[in-house]
This record gives sequence, C-alpha cells and structure tokens, in this order.
Amino acid sequence: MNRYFRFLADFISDVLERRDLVSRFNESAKHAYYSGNTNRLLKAHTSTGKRLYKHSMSRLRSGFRIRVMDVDVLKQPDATEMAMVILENGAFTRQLMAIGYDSLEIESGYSFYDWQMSKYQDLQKFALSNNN
Amino acid sequence: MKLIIKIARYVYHTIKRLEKKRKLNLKKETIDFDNIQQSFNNATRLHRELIVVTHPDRFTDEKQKVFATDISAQVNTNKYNYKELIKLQTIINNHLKN
Repeated sequence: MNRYFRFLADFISDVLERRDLVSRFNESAKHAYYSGNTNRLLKAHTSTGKRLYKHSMSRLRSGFRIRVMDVDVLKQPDATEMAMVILENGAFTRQLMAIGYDSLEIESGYSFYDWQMSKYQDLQKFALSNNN
Repeated sequence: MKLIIKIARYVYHTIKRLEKKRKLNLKKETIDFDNIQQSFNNATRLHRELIVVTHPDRFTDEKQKVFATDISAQVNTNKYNYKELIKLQTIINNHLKN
C-alpha cells in the first residue's frame, strides 16, 4: 500500500513542479511583453513530446512547447534563436530535463519546430565534469 | 469507503506539504526568467553589435588585440545570454574609453 502512496506522492509532486515552472515562465513572458522588453507574447505548456527524443528521466507528456502568440509564420532562424536561448541556458535546460521534459517545441500559427534537449545538455557529461 | 477517505486525506496533505516545499524552493531559485525573456528578443542584436566592436582585426596595438581576442571569445560564449552580454558591453565601453 505504501508503494502506491509513494507513487501517488511522486506523481503529484511532478505535476506540481511542472505546473509551477510553466506558470513562472508564462508569468515572466507576460510581464516582459506588457513592459515592452519583448515584442512577442509567448505562452508555454506541456505537450506529448517526441518518443525519439527520450532520455533516462523522460516522463509521460514530455514536450515543453512554447507558442508564439502574435506571429502566424515563424521563420526557422527566429525559432532557432529562441530555442538556443533555452538550450544554451544550462540551469534551465537541466531543470526541464530533471522534471521529465525531453523535447523543446516552438510553434506559431502555421509553423512548428522541435529540438532534442539531451543533444544540447548531456547530463552524464555534466555529472562527470562536476566530479572532476 | 474508509480507504477512499484515507487516500483523499493523504492526497490533500501531500499537496499541502509539496506546496509548502515549493514556496520554500522558490526563494532559492536561481533561474532568471526575465533574462530568458529578454534574451529571446535582444541577445542576438546585442551580440552582433559587440562582435563588430571587439573584432581583433580592428586593433593594431598588441595589447588591445589580446584584449579584443579574449573579450570577443567571451561574447561568443554568451551569445544567447542577454544579461552577460550587457555586463560585457560595460567592460568593453570602459576599456575603449581608456
């Protein structure tokens, strides 16, 4: 019985952590847009993700999807630039991967692009370099 | 029925405990979301500006050239980090003034 409770607690914890991260991201995006620091309104949510991009910590619904609200067609270089901001931010990407995300997806009205997180942040490599 | 009540009570207390933990963790948070948002829009533009200013070929003096090589490497490393680029910009401006 205890095992089931622990599983339930873990599940709830993950859901809360993910919800929290996504809401903080959305809040900061909204704030940046309202204050004029950025000219794109972004909204993040959790999606199904891509099975090909799985890593050892992936969970169900493993896509971190960012939706660009006010653009219909987002060009590839612009999307790549946005993705690289996240993927080059080691702390953020590692946190995303630790709570079970494995794919980063950027979409606007008619365009959709995705990236594999583990390709940019090798968790094992990070652990080894820390030990050294 | 008793079991359902037990589970519901457990879930309720777990959520409460985790929420408390989450609030504590928020204070320790290191991820700068504002920086991420600003980087989306401004980092590449600023990177382009800085890389033009600090290109080593612009300098003839050996000391300046070494500084330019070092700082342009740093600019390239922080290409997508607006906050770091701003810091580098102030360093570059101060150096060029002198």
